[in-house]
Amino acid sequence: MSLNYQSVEDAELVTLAAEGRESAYRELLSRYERPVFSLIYRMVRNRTVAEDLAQEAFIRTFNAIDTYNPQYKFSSWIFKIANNLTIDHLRKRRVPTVSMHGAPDAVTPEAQARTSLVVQSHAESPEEYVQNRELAGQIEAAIGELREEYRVVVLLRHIEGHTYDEIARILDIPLGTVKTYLHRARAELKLRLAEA
Amino acid sequence: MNSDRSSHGRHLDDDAIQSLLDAVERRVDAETESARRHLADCRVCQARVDAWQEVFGELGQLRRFAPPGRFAERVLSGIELPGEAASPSRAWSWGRLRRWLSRTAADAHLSGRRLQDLADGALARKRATLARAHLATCTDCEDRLAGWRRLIATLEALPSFAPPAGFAERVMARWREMAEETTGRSRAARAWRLWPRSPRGWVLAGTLTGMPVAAFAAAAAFLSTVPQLTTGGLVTYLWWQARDALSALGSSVLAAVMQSGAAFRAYSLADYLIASPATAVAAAAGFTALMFSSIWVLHRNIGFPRFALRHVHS
Repeated sequence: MSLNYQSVEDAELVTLAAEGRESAYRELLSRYERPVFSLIYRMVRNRTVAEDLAQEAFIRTFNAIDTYNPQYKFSSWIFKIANNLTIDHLRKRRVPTVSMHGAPDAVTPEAQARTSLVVQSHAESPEEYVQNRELAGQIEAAIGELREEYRVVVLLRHIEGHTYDEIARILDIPLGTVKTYLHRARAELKLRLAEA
Repeated sequence: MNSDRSSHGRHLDDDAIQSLLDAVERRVDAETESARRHLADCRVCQARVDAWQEVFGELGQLRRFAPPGRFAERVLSGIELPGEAASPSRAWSWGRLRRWLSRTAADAHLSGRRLQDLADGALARKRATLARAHLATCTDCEDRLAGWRRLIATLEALPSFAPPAGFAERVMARWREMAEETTGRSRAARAWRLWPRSPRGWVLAGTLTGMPVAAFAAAAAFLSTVPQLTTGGLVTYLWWQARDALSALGSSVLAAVMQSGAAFRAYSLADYLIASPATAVAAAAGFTALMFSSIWVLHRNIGFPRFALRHVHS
């Protein structure tokens, strides 16, 4: 007998999932695949990486479903896992490099390589730019230029609609810091949009 | 009174003239009377009095400004009424200071943070009320608030992105794979947990495994001391004993079944089923359904190790 899980609350779905019901896992996945993917995609700005990270976030959540604390919202929990993974990825990320020509007196390729200046670049590669055209709008570009801490609070507040308290819990930071990040982030966005 | 002399006495200095003009309506004393008498005859002092009168006239025509809105209300809320208990500390209490600050805040322009909070609905009720009171009279702040509201509306209108097609299926498949791997690892981990890790553990494990070996060795050593006993003879003896025991067990079970009448009833039932084709077909269908159900249960449990997943913790 199959149950209709669409009207079931998240906390109850988690209980059913912990009992081993695959349909409950599927329902949780269908509810959160879009918001989790969107958040990660706007953070890493690369669809392939975002898909890998979102998949990892769901797998970690499902594997630890027995440890879920129903006192808090399931959405806060899964966003916390997704955000931690994303921040880890962004910190570990090997940024693409741009190599300038070597010294003027370097004639052999080896000498050029030895004396070349390597500058780290945070810009998107041409392939990424083509991939990420959906993030090319003014507001999306402005969001992309925000610091990671600012970006995530803006996304959680204004796109995912979390409260300040929930954001503080997701990011493990004090409520006052959430407010400060939001104020600064919005001020930067306003400035960037005015300049554009 | 320092003044130069004239034919009518000393001239009036600036202080005396200002006192004379101030005293027109308020004060008439001996000094004023003396000054007036001098003024009546001295053209120089009359000219200076005229100049001062002009200054006084201009000052008297200065415009009066009205206080800001709800000024009287705010003043009244700040004073102690006769019925209230007055205490020395009350005049500088934190509550009064806060009220004073909030009144000052109501008059001042709103900061960007406050406007953002108001636009986002995150401002406390009292502060929001004060902010709205200011906004009602300040178009500049109202315009700035509209700017923040536009920004928030733009952010909230941004679309969410769907993951690539088949994302959910890939997640579920990967999750199953990982769960199976984890289940295998957990079995190995359970086995590994039994491995002794301390000298006492090794002594216990050695005792448990050594005792049966030692018992068997002792029995073998004892039997080897009996001269008539050979290995072939011992094996033959044990074989006969086992065969006799099994034969006796089989005979007793068969006798018990025959005596209970169960075999007869089973034979009668089989005979009846074979004699009735409809019953035989129904029995065959039931058997087939039972077989398929068993296959389905096996498939579900082997295909998706859900019971093992409950023990996965990462």
